[in-house]
This record gives sequence, structure tokens and C-alpha cells, in this order.
Amino acid sequence: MTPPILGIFASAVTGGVSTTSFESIATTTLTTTTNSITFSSIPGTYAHLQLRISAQSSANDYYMRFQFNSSGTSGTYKHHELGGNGSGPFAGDGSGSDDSWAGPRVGYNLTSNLGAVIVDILDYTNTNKNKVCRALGGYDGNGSGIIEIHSGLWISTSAITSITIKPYIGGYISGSTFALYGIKAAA
Amino acid sequence: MAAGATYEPIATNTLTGTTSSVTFSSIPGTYTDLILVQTFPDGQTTGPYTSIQFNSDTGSNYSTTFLTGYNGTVDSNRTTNATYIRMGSSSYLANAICITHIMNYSNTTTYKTVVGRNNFGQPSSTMKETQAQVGMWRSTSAITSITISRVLSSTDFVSGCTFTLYGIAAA
Repeated sequence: MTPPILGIFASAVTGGVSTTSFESIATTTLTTTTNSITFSSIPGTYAHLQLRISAQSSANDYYMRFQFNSSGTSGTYKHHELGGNGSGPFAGDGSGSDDSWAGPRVGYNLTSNLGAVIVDILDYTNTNKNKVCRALGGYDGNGSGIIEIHSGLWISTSAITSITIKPYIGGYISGSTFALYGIKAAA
Repeated sequence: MAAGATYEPIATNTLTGTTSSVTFSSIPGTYTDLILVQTFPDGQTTGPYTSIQFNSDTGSNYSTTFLTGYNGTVDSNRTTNATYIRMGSSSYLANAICITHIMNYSNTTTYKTVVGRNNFGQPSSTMKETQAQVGMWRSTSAITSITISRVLSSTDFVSGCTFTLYGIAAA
């Protein structure tokens, strides 16, 4: 067995850190339990969006739900999920009458512990296609926890200009962080 | 509205020989999340999953919940009070990628949560796998170093493995 070696740091690389096409758009860090979080006036200058979330539910272990453009029309959102709870796998889908699509759960009543969710919202400004999303997320409580992969569909050709995040019941606790990023395509 | 470009490479390591572990140390606390990208070549044919430890903590302060599809079967398991966060579950890492998101790594008020995905396929056998996992380090310390190891110390990482650490800063 050979000894461990260390990584090479960017500061030691000629030319330093490069710029990227991944940009931070907005971030919300909760200072009190909050029932819904909305990113509005999202610029249409990116190809895709990514949400990066660290959060815990305040009421129960409910799915994190996503709604676009404040549109709550019944039946216009669909989702599928594949998950594992440490004891076995499970799969599910939306009810068909949802007013938002369901993403991973982030846990409830956990001590000093926030779940994590990463959501990719693809081609969000395209007015010729319905909008599709995918999410990876979950939480681990050292003996409890869930890991989930979700797909989401909004049956609308409207460009997405706002995103609302909410659970079925309750909200998200203080310290939860919701960050929105934009990913550019080639010019 | 936008705060500028982010998703910056912090450090990278492409192995030119075998080694038992790779450590990224002195990680700056200036980002919001870290992303660890690992790739393993076809020659990485021995030994089981990799492990991740933070700040050289070898105590039983880690746990992982994972969902695994392998060879046409799906399963979910977990580790508790473990000495590392576990990535992967099967016997090989050949042709594998592992992408791990280390969330809110520099905060000092909550435990640290990671979510990740990994995949591999071993062309010389029937072994293939895709997995998602969520892990926790029960510490409120800011993460300043990450060590990636083979769980069996006799099975080193081989030449051609790559390890890259990125930082993402929120607005």
C-alpha cells in the first residue's frame, strides 16, 4: 500500500481559477419558520436553472413541493419518484390533481440536521415545450432517513419566471437555505 | 440580480500511481457548497466502495442512507454510527463516476449533509451499479479537509483515477 497523497490546489496552478457559466441568482436564508419561499422575476438569460436547498420541515416529513409562475391549476403538475428509506426501495407518482410537483423530503424533528435537495429545471424559458425537472435529495438521521430521485413535469409552455417552494403542511425551519443558480449555454 | 459566476475548481488530483487515499486540505470557507467529482478508470477492478471523512475525524460520527440498483435488482440500506460516509456498495469501481454534493459545509450550527450519485460498469464481468445516497457527519465544525479512501486498505486507488473539488458560492 502506498502512502496517501494530497490534492493540488487551484492557487498552485498557473492561470488560477477559471470563470464559469454557472451563476448565483438569489438566495434566501430563513430566520423564522416560513410556509413558502418564492423566487420571482427570474431573468430569462440562462439555459437552465438549479436550486440548491438545505432545509428541514417544521410540521412533518412531507414532500417538498414546487410551483411555477404562481400557477396552481389542478392536474398540470406530474411527478415520479424512486427512493430508499434504508430498509427497502419504493416508487410513486403524483395524484393527477396536484397544484405543484413533489420533490424529495428533507426530514422533520431532527437535531442540528438539515436535509439537502438539488433541483435541475431544464430549458425553463422555452415556449414550445412543457417544462421538465429532476431532483436528488433527502436526509440522514443516523438510523433514519430517506434518499430520493424525482422527476417533475409542469404542463405549460410558458417561460418560468417564478418558483415557489412549499411543503403540503407547515413550513421550513429557521436556518434553512434556498439558493437559485442559472446555467448559461454557449453564445 | 445575478451575483456573478461561481462553480469554481478548488483543487484536482489525477493519480499517476497507486495510493490508498486522497486528501483535500485547507479548503477555503468562502463557498456555500462543495462538489466532489471522482472518476475511476477501467483498471480500478479491485476492492469495494470508497469512503469519505471530514477534518481527519475517524470517530463513529457518520451515517449513510442509500438506494442502489445493481444487476437488475433494487435495494436500500443504511449505515449508522459509522467511521465514514459510504459511496457505492458493490465489489468494483471500474469505469465509475461519483458526484457528491457537500452542502453548507462551512456553517458551524448544523451537522453536515451530503447527497450524491455514483455509477459504474465492469465490462469484464456482469457487475454494474447505479446508486444515490445521502450521508451525514454529526459535527458542527466547518469542513476544512476531505479524505477519500478505499474501505479495504489493501485495495488502493489506481493510476488514472481523478478527484476534483469545486466550490459554489450563493448570492
